[in-house]
Amino acid sequence: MTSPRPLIVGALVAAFASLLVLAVPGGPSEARAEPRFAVREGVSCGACHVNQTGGGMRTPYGVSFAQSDLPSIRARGVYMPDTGTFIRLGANLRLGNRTTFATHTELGEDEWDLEASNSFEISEGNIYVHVEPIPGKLALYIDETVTPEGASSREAFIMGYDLTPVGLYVKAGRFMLPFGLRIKDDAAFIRQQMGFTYADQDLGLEVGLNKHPLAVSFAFTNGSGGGFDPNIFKRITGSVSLTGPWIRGGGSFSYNDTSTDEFLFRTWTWGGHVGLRLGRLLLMGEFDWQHGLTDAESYDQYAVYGGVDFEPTKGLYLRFRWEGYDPLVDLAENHRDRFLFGVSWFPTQFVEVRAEYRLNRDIPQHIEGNADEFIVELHGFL
Amino acid sequence: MADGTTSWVSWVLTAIAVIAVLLALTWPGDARSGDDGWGGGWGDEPEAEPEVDLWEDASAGHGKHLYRTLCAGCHGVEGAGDGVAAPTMFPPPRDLTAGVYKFRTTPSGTLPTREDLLRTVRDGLPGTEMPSWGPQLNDEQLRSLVLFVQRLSPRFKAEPAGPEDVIVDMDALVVPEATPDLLARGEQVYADMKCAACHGELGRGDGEAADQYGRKAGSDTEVFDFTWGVYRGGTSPQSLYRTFVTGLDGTPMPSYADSLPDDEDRWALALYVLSLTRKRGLPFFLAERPTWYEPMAPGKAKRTDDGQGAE
Repeated sequence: MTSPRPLIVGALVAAFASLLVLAVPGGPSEARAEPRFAVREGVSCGACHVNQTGGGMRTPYGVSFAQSDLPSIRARGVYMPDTGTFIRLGANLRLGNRTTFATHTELGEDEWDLEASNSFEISEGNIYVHVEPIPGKLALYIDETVTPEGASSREAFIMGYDLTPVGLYVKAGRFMLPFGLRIKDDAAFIRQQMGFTYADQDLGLEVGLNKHPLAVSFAFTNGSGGGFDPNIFKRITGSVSLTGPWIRGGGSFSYNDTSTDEFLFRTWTWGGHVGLRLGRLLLMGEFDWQHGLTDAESYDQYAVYGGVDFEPTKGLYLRFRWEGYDPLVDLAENHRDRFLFGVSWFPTQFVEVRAEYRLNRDIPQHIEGNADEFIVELHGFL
Repeated sequence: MADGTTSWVSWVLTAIAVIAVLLALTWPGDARSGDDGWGGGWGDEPEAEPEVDLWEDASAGHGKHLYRTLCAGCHGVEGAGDGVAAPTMFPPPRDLTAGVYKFRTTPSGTLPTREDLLRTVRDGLPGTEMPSWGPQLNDEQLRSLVLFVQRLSPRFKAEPAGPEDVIVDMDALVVPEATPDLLARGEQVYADMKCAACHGELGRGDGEAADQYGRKAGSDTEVFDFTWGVYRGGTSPQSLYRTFVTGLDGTPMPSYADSLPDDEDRWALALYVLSLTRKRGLPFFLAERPTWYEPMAPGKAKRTDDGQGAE
């Protein structure tokens, strides 16, 4: 039922992507997340993902969406994720190739050089297990990383959900903190520099409401990145967002005190995010500010994210993204920028092909932060 | 050695016997009719193909499994139209428990036939979030889904609709040529039937009564803008003809089966309304993408039928 134009465009992009894979060594992108689809569809993250705050295993609606709305060409057959009445499985695998271009920087008489490199990579391999002993109300969920390194649990929790008419949910275990747009690009400044990556998942309790158009989450966690909490204080993180048919907006905050008798370290982080759908254009942005306090100093840093996705035909996205980061607001000339130009294509259900060029700009001394990258990625998911 | 040979022979004989039994059980054809599976019987005269009930292989149980994965996200687990994605959709997903369907070949106020539902599930509803499942599901799966959807409303058990209830035989409809005279007649019918009161003089859905029925009045439907050119029930003249005859249940759009008895008037109106399609004014990058969801966009129809459906 796909019209000829998407087929032709899709075929051209497929040929282009194939050529890239064969001729230009690229690599897996870290850019993975898809709150853009939540903005596009005007739904909350929990509509498509088992985890009420997004990411990981997909709900039946998410699986259905991935088969009907997402792909350029819908291949014959449907995938039914149910392995039994109470157990469902899912998986995610990203294979890629990354080229880092040779780079030269200089500052006064100092010079730095970085050689070009190319590497095939597996950037992500996860298996999801969702056990639902009380259908629609209680779930045991495990998001287990199985590659590229040793097995480790990314998220593992017990969750009661849809507990009241206003969609109350309670989650206990290991999970990623509810803060901002859950883009899964752990290297994005708003995630990495603000400390909300999958590597920074934490242990604790999360309570929230998920009733369209409102989504509210509060988490009380160790504040130690998933490890042992050396003090009695807990990290408090919260996020509120409103979702409409063409707009989504909200704010987040987090307070963490990891001080001990030997040292003082507290951070306050807050930010706002917005998403807009204008026809075939999707715009997303987030701005986060963090204030830190240690024995020696206090500091402020901020990170900003802006992205535009254009969908010329079904399943194909032309993407542009800008990221900015200032690690010390009081210090001049230490701003970092990233620009990304890319294509994301879902040729058929459960498959994504990406090609991205990243333009990185950092202080001259940080040579890696100035190296441009070209990335090609094949993403399979269930 | 002799014992070993005996054992070996008995194993071979047993294996042959098992294979023979399996072949007998699985050999194509029906032994009772003498069909040997190779295109002819053992001396019998060829018999006429029995009429096959395609719905026999379908199972509501299988349909339930499909429904839970593919449909419940919008229509809700129980079919009440309250799925997780429903609040953001306009028009909202149909409440399947009510048993009220817009797109039917049956009289106004009655249930659709299984074939009507099958058409919707297979082809989707253009301009809405209802996708076409025809590209992915096979015939048995589509029919199973329809059987389960029928179970969601008690009406289907109480007042089932069958082929005898069909008042618009879509396969038998022959579209006349859209001559200037016929279009002029259609314009006259459009005026006589007071279509403009809701749909407006130019078909933009901006008639005087539009505000009473549309979204502004809190309705879960809207007075249709014919200039859009994307019809939820299908964009073919046949589907419009059917809509005029059967009406759209659950909406203010009535059936004109009695008030427009002349077949030529019906065609004239259908073709005139189709002629109202206009290009949209929005730039490409801001335009919505309804045509991506429609299998039956003008000039893109691939199926032999018309793509009409029952929402």
